[in-house]
Amino acid sequence: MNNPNPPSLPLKSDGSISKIWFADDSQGIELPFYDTKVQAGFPSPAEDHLEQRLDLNTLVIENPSATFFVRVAGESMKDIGITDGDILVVDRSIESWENRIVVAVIDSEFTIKRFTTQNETVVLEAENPDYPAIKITPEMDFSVWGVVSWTLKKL
Amino acid sequence: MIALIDCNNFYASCEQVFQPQLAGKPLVVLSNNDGNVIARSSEAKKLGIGMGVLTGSVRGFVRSHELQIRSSNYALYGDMSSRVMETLEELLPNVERYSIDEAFADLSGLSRARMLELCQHVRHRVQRHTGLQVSIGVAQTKTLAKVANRLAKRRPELSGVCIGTETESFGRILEQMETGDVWGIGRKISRKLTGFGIHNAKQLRDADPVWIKKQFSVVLMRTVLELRGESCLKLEEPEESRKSLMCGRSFGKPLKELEDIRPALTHFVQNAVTRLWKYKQATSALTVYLSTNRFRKNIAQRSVSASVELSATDNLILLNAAAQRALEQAFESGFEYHKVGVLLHDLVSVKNIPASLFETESGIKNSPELMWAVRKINAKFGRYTVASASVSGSSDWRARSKFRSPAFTTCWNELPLVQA
Repeated sequence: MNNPNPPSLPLKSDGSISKIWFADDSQGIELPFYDTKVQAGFPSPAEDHLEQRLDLNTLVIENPSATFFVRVAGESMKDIGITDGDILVVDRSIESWENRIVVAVIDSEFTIKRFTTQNETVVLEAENPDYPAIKITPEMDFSVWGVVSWTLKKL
Repeated sequence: MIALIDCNNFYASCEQVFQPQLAGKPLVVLSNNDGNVIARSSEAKKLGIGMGVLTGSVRGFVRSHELQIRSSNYALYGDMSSRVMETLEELLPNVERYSIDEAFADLSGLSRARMLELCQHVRHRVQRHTGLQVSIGVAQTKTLAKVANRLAKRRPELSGVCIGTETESFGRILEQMETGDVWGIGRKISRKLTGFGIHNAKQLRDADPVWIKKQFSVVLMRTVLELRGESCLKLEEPEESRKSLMCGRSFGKPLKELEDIRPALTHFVQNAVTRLWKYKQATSALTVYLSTNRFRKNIAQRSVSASVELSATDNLILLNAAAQRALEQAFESGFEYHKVGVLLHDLVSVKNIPASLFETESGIKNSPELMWAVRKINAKFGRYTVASASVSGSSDWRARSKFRSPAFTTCWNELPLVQA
């Protein structure tokens, strides 16, 4: 497995990485790149995902069939870092809503707030002191559309 | 036992999931070109708006009943369909995707109580995952499962699930059904049956299969047997009533390269188009599905769909080119793909399309010879070679979709907006 004379390639002179070695395949030996004995010398932290680069989807999407993206308009959640223009990952399959950030429908409008129950009443709390909490009354047409699992923010 | 899972008012419901203001409102979805009504919410059905009626004829309801109108949005419907199907495949064995909003599943070996429990679980899960309601009918055969499904939809007390374990118990229901409402029976056959004094589905069930075969066809004989509870695996497609059709299957071995998947897709497009020709139909939108094998937990998973719209056509070259374009859009390297399929939407009778449209579109006539040639070329070069660059642009189409909602789930620029 170990190549006696790995070809090396100088990379940068300014940083800590000065060289990187490549497995020599000139003799037609196939080296699985996860093998901990390859010259790069570090164990792969993700041997389950061989030959794959990290895919953001696997991180932010747990239930593909139930995951949707929505775009934020407004600043009522800015104290937890959700601001106008952000994209949210919404997982509809999550069924425990208490204290989670949810996309709710109130009287036919999508809104995003923190779902809480106070004295058996649903209260949607904003994360910005300028916005009052919304107490859900029986007259309101209310439902939880999905639970926000990630925020995607362009910097 | 076979279950038929069917989305309620699928197109209209897809619109309502992302536009809460449409919930509970009469809503119609228009065909390609905004020509006529192809889907209705239950509230629109209650207004007496018929399937297929001209758009002009429902305009009055906009003012009188706040009727909402949307152009068809196949990118949205295609994506929502695959979400529903994936959810079903997680819960049920042997799911056979049958159309954009219907699937069969095999529930053999389960007790009635267990079936009921499972079906309710499926309904709940699909609703939670996608926001869409499904109805489920279970019976001995596909044809009877369709009947049960119809019942599940119509009788609120059944909570969306109707299980007909006893085939005999269908008698009264069939008696109240016109033959034209039986799966696979078109208007023409229905009229001919009436001529013989067969008015309802029960009379059809009780007709002599041999006589039916002689007078009609082996296809209709199978329907009779299916109504009696004898499962006939090779069922023909329902013809006139069919709104969409689907072709696809898993590969023998996982495929990683786009160029390896192309011939498979071409094959399914050919199958689908042959079925189009058989019933003299044309399509104006298609969705291509591509997915990895969910059951192999240790590989990276991916399941995607992409849709393309074109002017109504039954031209194999155009449709295959469109499908290949959709495949390119959906494909991403680095995955072991397991399954590809194509779904043709918005089927219309070729009769209803001006002939000139076809002639100007392409000089190539459809024929078995053409089909043969395409297959031959693909076999020889092992790839999709006969690509046509002349697929009518979708911009042209868009101009005619005046009431189209955004592609909420397939376009970053069209995501639903939530107020914070």
